[in-house]
Amino acid sequence: MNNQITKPQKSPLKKKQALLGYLFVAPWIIGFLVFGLYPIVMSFYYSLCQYDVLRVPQFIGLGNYKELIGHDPYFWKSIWNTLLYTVVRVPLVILGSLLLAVLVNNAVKGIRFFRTVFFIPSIITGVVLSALWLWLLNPQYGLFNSILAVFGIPGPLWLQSPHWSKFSMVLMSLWSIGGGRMLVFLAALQGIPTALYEVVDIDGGGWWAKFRHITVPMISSVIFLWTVLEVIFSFQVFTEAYVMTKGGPLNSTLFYNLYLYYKAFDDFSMGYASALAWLLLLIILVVTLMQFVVGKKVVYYEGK
Amino acid sequence: MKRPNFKTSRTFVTYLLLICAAVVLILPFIWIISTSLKGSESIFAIPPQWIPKDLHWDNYAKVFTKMPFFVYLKNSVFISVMTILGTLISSSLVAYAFACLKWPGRDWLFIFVLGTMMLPAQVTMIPVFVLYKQFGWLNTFKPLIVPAFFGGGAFNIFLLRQFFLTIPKELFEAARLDGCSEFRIYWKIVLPLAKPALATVAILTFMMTWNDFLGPLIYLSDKLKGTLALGLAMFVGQYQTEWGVLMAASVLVMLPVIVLFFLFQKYFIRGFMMSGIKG
Amino acid sequence: MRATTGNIMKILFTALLIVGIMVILFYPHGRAHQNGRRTISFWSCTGQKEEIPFIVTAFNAAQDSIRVLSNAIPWQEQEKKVLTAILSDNPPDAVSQFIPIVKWASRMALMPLDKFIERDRFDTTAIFPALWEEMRWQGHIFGIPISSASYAFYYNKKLFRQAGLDPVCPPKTWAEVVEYNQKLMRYDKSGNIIQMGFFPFYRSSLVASQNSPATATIIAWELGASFLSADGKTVTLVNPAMLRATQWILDFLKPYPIGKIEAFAAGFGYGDQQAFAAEKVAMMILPNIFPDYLRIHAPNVEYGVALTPTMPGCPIASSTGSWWIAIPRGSKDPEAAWEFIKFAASKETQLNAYTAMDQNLFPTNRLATADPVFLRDGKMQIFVTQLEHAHSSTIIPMAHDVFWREFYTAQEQVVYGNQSIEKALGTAQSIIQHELNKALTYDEYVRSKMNFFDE
Repeated sequence: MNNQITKPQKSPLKKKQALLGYLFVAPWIIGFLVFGLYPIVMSFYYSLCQYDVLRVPQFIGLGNYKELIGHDPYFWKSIWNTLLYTVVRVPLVILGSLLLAVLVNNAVKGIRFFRTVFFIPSIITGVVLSALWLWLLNPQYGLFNSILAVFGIPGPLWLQSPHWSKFSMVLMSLWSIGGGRMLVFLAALQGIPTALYEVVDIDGGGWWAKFRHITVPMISSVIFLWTVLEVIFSFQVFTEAYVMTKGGPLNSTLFYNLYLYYKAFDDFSMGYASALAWLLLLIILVVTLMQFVVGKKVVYYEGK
Repeated sequence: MKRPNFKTSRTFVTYLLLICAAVVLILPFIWIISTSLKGSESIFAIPPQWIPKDLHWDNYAKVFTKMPFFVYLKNSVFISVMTILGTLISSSLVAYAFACLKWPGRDWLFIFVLGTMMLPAQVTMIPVFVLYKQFGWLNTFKPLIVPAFFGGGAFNIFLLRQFFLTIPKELFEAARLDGCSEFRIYWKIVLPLAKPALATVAILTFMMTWNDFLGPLIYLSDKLKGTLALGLAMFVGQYQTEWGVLMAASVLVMLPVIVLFFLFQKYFIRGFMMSGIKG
Repeated sequence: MRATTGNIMKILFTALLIVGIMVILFYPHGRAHQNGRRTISFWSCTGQKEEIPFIVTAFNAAQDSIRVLSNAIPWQEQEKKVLTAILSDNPPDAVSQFIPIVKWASRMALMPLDKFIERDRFDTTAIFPALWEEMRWQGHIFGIPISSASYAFYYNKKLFRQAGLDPVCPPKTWAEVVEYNQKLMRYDKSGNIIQMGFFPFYRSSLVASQNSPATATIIAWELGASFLSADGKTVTLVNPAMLRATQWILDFLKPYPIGKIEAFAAGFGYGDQQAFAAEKVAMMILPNIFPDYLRIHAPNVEYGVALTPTMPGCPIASSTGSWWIAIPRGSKDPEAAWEFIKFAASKETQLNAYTAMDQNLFPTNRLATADPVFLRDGKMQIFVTQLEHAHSSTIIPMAHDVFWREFYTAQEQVVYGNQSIEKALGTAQSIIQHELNKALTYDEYVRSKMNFFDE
């Protein structure tokens, strides 16, 4: 933004750019007004009601919110579960994809094959993915514990253990580090001019020096982007818990979104669920804004 | 500086790491393929059989009889292609506005756009459904395709915006001084430079649409309007799940994505963008 | 516009877009009309033995005026699908599900069937009472059950013999179950459990699904427990019978470290790895469709089916649920749907379906279950008896899912030793009561705004 000390009016060029800005962004705005506004407003309205989708809503003001924050142990439990999951998962997943992207950024022969192999796990979803991991993590005959047994380590009960269940899901998540996330990092890596690496070569730096001083800073904006996104996604974890553990054992995998789902579609308490949703939005918003504040200091934008 | 055999040892290490990673990541997928060839007796046998004793190719045949595979394939392709088209166009336009143009309220609107990703879809699902009912779009593909043309989703906008931000301002300034219209800059300069990012968006959108189950579930009622993802769900029942056939179906459904990915790789070839500009 | 590449691309793209839109708009749809017959659409869930339910094929073949078009909806998302269908004002003409019908009935989503029942003098006594009660809401009937779940006591004869137990003498009391169990426990060298006599939970692990019977509730019912007051307003989960039943479970598991049980149960799986099928557990309470399951996955298991054991001096008890067919509000041809329902509930159809589907459809019609064809398989009589003494698993109609979630949470807490029985059940009860209160208040409010039964 310019400061308005000397200019009495914006130059025509700036005005034109502003107008075009609105034009270019118009598709999203129109889309939002048509497809987004009504549902969002309604869901907020429902959060102020008792509502079971098939009958009329009953306005109860902030009742749902008060109950959630003051009287619902599952609200806090699910926040705790989700937070823990996010804090463990996001760094691991970002690091994993980044390292893999660096590895795959080599034009060696057959790299296309490798990249495809790494990508495949990320397209397996839903029931198949869950069945696969229920089998892999089976404490008695699953792959993981079989391998651990070779080293004489008695494996944990994974998904059946209240202490390991969340980590089991993080593990599941790690399997898709070769997916879209890695592609994005890869695309970003492609954009780093080779000349920069040559400078490090001349200075006598090795692989790690290149990584630390060139790679990471140059794509820090993309890393930042994905960290923000992954936090948002992690907070909304649902499918794995729904299909595999149903929130157990001992509610250790009762994630926020799962609890929301139970309230919305099992109990038909759509009002309560909407309140849960809006609180989640608030939480994620705050966390994201915090990240942006930190991000401004840490991220390097080439374009600026 | 002495660096004996640097190139070959580096290549060796690279291959070693690649192979290790590949083995770890592909193993579960191999189990899926192997299960797809098993009869129901041996699927969960202990110890686990990696290579089935009898190869049940009929599992694959059953996929075609139990669901209208080709009809679903056609539908899935149609929906995916249209969605990718709409997403690429609209999200790149919108991202351009956020990254390359200056206008009042830009950054606030961006945060707002981001905010729309933070509301769980479960709660807007019902009002959205009612909305589409009012439009008369139920039991058509419209709810699945049309929104893609209006921004393509906050996620893609965010992705492209971050990417566009890495394009040096000098390019824009030079082009503007030359009298290029913004649209031309967008079309001729930014888009070509952003090919890897666009390819990524295309692939991610494809994957998401290909695997999308909920949308088709609630918007499509005619049996012949289903998608492949929906078809997969048909194999899961209350007590009986035909695991072998389900796995076979999954493999078939995954195949197009894998093939497409393998082919699209050329957009990720090193040196495609920018290497000449700065050095 | 100049004919630059840019402009050509723009034109091409717009053309593509228009073509695309045309295709979407004119995409062919609509159901086939079958020779002037009335057609009705029927939804049931995937995973049935046949692709198209037997009853549909039979009905279409048996008469000429109505044709049923059957659509299978995914089992896992059936509620959402039906919910959105009702919201769309374009629901199927008939729908069949296993979930408690009260979830739809109490929300005015289904048509009451009373006038059809009266008009056609449908024999309501032919349906098992426990199942019939479930179809009732506010004095009206909303669905007809066509396939019932019944649970009995399965035991492994071979394992009995190996333990020195008489294979034709399954335990008749819960005390005997404890005795038998002790003889049937087997461990490996490291002290891990590799075989258990009785496993008191349904599937694997200590977290089970809502549709499966909990041993604790069965014992509680035997002891005469009631979990909801007669007026439907007060939850009485904490009652002496329930406390005693939960204590029994606790006492049963006491000799074995919970970690060992967890590890043992964690090894249960699907298919032939199901606990009973894999012969890891010698005695289990399992459903009536299990014989077919065993035939497919573990045909070599030598097993018997008996009545559930009882507490001293108490009658047997069991839980049940059923697949029902109902007519959603907004159905375009309820008359035709009703004809279909009557057919599905008739004795002949049920008997035929039972045989044709390898015993996967368990009749809800008592005339069918009294038929010699049905009783040829001795096990079936056991299931019938259990059904006669069964209680609906829809214990708290207005707070069904909450009840079972809280019940299982409480059970877990108790079994893991985290909380005492009173505390765990007490917490569960207060949460369930709270939800029930909310549901009842809301229901009252809605009643004051809309009236369902005047139509």
